[in-house]
Amino acid sequence: MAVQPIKFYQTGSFAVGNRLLDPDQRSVQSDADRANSISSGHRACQGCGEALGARYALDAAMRATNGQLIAVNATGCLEVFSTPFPETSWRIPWIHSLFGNAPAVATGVAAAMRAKGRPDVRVVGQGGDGGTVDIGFACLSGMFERNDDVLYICYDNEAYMNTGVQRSGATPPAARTNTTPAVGPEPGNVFGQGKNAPLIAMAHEIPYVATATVAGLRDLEYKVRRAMEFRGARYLHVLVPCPLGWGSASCDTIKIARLAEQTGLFPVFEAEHGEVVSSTPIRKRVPVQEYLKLQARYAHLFGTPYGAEVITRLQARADRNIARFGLLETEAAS
Amino acid sequence: MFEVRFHGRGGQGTVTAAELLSAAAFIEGMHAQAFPSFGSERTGAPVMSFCRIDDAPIRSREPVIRPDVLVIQDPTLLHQVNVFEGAEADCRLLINSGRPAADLNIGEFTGGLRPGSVLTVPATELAMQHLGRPVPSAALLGGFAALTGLVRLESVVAAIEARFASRPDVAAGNAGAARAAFDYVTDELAGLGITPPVPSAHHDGGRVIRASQDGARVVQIEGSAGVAEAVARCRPEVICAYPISPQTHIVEALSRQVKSGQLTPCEFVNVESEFAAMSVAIGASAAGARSYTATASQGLLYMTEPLYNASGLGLPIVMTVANRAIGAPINIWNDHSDAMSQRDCGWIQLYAETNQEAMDLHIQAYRVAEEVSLPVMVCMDGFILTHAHERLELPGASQVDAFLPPFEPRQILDPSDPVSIGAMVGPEAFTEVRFLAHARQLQALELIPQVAAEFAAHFGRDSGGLVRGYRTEDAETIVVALGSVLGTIKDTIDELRDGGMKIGVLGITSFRPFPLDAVRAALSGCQRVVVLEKALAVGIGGIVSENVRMALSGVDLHGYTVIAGLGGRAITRDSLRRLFQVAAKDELEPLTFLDLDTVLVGRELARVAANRQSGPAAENMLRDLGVVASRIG
Repeated sequence: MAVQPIKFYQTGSFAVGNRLLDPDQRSVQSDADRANSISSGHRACQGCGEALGARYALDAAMRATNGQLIAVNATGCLEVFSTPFPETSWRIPWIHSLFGNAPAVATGVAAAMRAKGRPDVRVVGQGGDGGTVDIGFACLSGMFERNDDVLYICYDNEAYMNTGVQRSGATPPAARTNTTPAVGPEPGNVFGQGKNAPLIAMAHEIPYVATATVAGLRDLEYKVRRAMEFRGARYLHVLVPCPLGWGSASCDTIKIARLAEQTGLFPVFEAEHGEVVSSTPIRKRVPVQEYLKLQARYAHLFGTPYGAEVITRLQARADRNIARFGLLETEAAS
Repeated sequence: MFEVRFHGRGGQGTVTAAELLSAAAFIEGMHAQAFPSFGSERTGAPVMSFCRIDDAPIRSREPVIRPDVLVIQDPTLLHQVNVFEGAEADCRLLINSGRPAADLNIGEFTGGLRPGSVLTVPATELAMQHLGRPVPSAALLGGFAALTGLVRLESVVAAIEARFASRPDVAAGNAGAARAAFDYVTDELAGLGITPPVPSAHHDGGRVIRASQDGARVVQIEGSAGVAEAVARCRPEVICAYPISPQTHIVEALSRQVKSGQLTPCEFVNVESEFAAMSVAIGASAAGARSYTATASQGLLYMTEPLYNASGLGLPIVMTVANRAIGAPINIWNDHSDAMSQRDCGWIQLYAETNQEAMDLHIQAYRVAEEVSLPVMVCMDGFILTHAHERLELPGASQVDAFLPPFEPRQILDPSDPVSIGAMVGPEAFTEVRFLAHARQLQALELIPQVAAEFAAHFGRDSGGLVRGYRTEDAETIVVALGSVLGTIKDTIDELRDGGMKIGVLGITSFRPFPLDAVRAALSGCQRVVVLEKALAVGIGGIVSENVRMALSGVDLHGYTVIAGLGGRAITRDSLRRLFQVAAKDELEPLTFLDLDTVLVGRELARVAANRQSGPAAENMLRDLGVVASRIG
């Protein structure tokens, strides 16, 4: 009989579940009474980072609000795979309006709750990176600026995946998409473009901004819970690998998300009222190649002198993040 | 009917003067209509405003073309702007000047007037003495009262005091200037040997003063203010707005009500675009809150996507559209291009003929919207209605409460009963979803007249419904139109009827759903139909016409389309009279542009023919015209 040894060292780590801990220290997801905001049977791809991130985020939000939650969804994968008429995965009140207006619809829901004297009911707006940083950005900025009582969560898979992998304002440099193809003298997405939505959110001086990835699911749950402790506009930017768009193995979603953190390409931090208050240390720093090589969208970078040069530039971006957010210093300090 | 035209400069209170005169006439018990010459004027630019006063309700909404009195607030305009346009022999002039009329060098313009009909009053000096500011409008109104005897000085003073109720010093200063000017003009008239006219003891235009505890009253206010009052009485819970002329006064008034706590519970959200305005309304309505917004023109286009979404989700949002043209070239004035462009977005569209109807339609709109679960646009002509001051009956809060029950949505976002709203629907059911949207509009076709009838029983006023005919019974020619131009058409029809022409007009109130049967029933007995519309389907012609012709399928009659009033071009009784006379002889082209400047168009066409790169047509033509805003009518 095969014996599965219990790895006690996982206790207190970032690993999921922690069923060995006291109930109050366990993850939301390990709770048998979790909300199951998104129930199984939806039509997301295998290894979908967005489905995983949304499930954790919304269940955590449901716990934080004692079940008094309304979700507003932008058009995108999350909307499409969860609600093909007449089926729905949502076990919470949920509305989808348009691609570009989720933050404004969420504002409307929040305004209605205020008018109706229901401060206990909280509102989450959510969308992909296209719906958030591109087409929905005016509404998002308006919602931030008015400090409406909405937690907006962006599930960032770095391109328009629902429409078949086209470049967005969150697509990183050099990445191949179907509108930044890996052809020509400078294949893939160009350098010097794109926007950093969390930093722009911080510039609005809203109460809470944080980033997370699906590699740090306990951290994601914590940040949702923390966000719900504030009133006003809050922004959570979650990196969610997309096996389809990134050309990665379905089983590597978590691994790739972790490598995005560990390389420094995706800094994980929180900010309150416009100031960074904490960042998640890189536990084991790895060069960017380790991250890039698992993804077909960067395949054109390997084996050419040009590609080597690009990798150097990407490494410089990672190094800048590490310095900027103190991703190694924090570790030394803690 | 007594008609007054004010000429002044931006900052001189020219628009306020017309409004105050209308308020004074209202205090006298008369009907009055005041409205500005709408524009993008800034301080110092020439401005016009108009006031009509009558014992009966006033229907025409053309600018004052043949004034009984011209009030010139700034004598420097006399030789710059054709202020004398339409001044016929019995017109009288009141000019703000410290010099006698004979010294003003205007003999060439005033030679045709009766002796003693041009008076000057040093209104700016009087304003400086009494108010300490060079705003001559109140003084001129005092002079006007002395000159015409149409309103008493006390009524002018009362109007001033009501207008500046929150600033007693301004009220007192203006009232002092008005009194001084009244005395000055009285003396001037005596000096000319003219007996000052004595105001009739009491006009009675059938004024009914109804004031009650819950705010029901008759007032002389701007259309936008009236609509804001009506909306507030509907107890909206979420109002969101993005500013665009000419809708702004409505949401400004509502924001005051919300911020001051008069309208509560209600959230007022200042959004960053019209796209967001409609989106906030969608979220609020889906969460069970009665929602309101207002827009116009480019703003309506900018919210096109959420408009379709709101109707597709069946959310009973009510929105005012202060109808305005669509650019380019940018144009802030009235026509119906904006609402007509959204005729197929699934919203109910109701068009108001008067400000009273605009108010009433909002109250009815919530009833209809919430009963059939569809959003409603209440369309009111920008500036012509939104900025016109006239007598309005404000309903009482309890009266509206009794007519409009609280919003009980069919489905809401509620944590205790979670639902998914806005799911994807594929080809297997999308046709059926659309069919049902159509079926709901047809249901509204039944409901709109019922609600209008109930409204009439409850409030004692006829407003709304599907269509409304005027003198159509034995008419050989029937005009079809929407909105505020109906009043001007009715006055024209009365004139033509007096001359023996068998003509009537059919006003369409509900453009969506389109009342095919009612239109067919109203029109099928006549010989010709003239559809007068304020929008153009470029490349084919009329939009309303297409719909009317569908109603008349198989009926043999002459049909004409007249495009009128585009981008604020005044639709005058003179033009309408000529138009209908030509139409009655069946000499009208199938598609006519009312008052088209064919010379101007011809020149540009010639330029284009001569040189393919003739430049932007609009700029070329304006260069030809020379003067911007040079027309009165």
